[in-house]
Amino acid sequence: MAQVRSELRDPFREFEELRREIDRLFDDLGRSFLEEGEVGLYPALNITEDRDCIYVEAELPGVRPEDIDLSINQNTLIIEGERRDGVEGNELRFFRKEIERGRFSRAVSLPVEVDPESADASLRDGILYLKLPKSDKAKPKQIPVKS
Amino acid sequence: MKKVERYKRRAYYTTKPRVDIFEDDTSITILADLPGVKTEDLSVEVKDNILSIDGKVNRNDTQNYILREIDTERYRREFVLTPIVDQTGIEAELKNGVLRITLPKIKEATPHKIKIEG
Repeated sequence: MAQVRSELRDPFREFEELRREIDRLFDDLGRSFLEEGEVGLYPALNITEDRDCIYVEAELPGVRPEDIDLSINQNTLIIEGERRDGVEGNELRFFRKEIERGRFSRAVSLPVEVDPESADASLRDGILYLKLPKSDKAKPKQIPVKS
Repeated sequence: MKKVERYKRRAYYTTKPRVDIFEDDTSITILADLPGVKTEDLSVEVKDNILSIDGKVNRNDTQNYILREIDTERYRREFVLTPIVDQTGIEAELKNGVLRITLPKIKEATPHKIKIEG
């Protein structure tokens, strides 16, 4: 009995569930707006960092590696390209067409300067992974403490 | 501390994948964007005339995020199959984060010319 009561009175759980419901509602709304022809920023990105590198992930399903152009200018990263997979063939009749194709371009500012010469990029399972080493002056310096 | 553990145990953050669905004379094709899903983490199944797609994305969530727009951990979507689909001949292929499902039509549903005698 005590167990049940504590579950019922658990505020975090209730809020978490409520938050998910609201997120879902807005997701559905968002999607219906997108279907009206409005486009969000593309591709979607995650950017993380550790001491030495900045890591970028970009969702690019159906894009061929040779159709992606990457450039770094100071601390601005530009991802450009074209998605042209999929629907070849004539006399196709569409029931749904939610996937967008064609050219895309996105610029994003990085928090520190990176070294473009030693950047590394790979495309796996429709996600572009970038590893961008921070330039030497952007790395944290260890300061030795003298005794 | 307790709160953090609960957050980790929460349900997967599930998204409906975007799809194209089109047909030609002999088959219906579904294309679904599933970025980050590997073949071994994807299931495509038919049960009671419902085709369901269920794919998981393994995400390492202990990182220092500067920007976070991608948080899907699971893609799920279901479709009701029309009776003209030959359910024994369905094929699926995952490539570059795009799932392509080919649903052949039963013979009776493919167009054929009727010869007019005269």
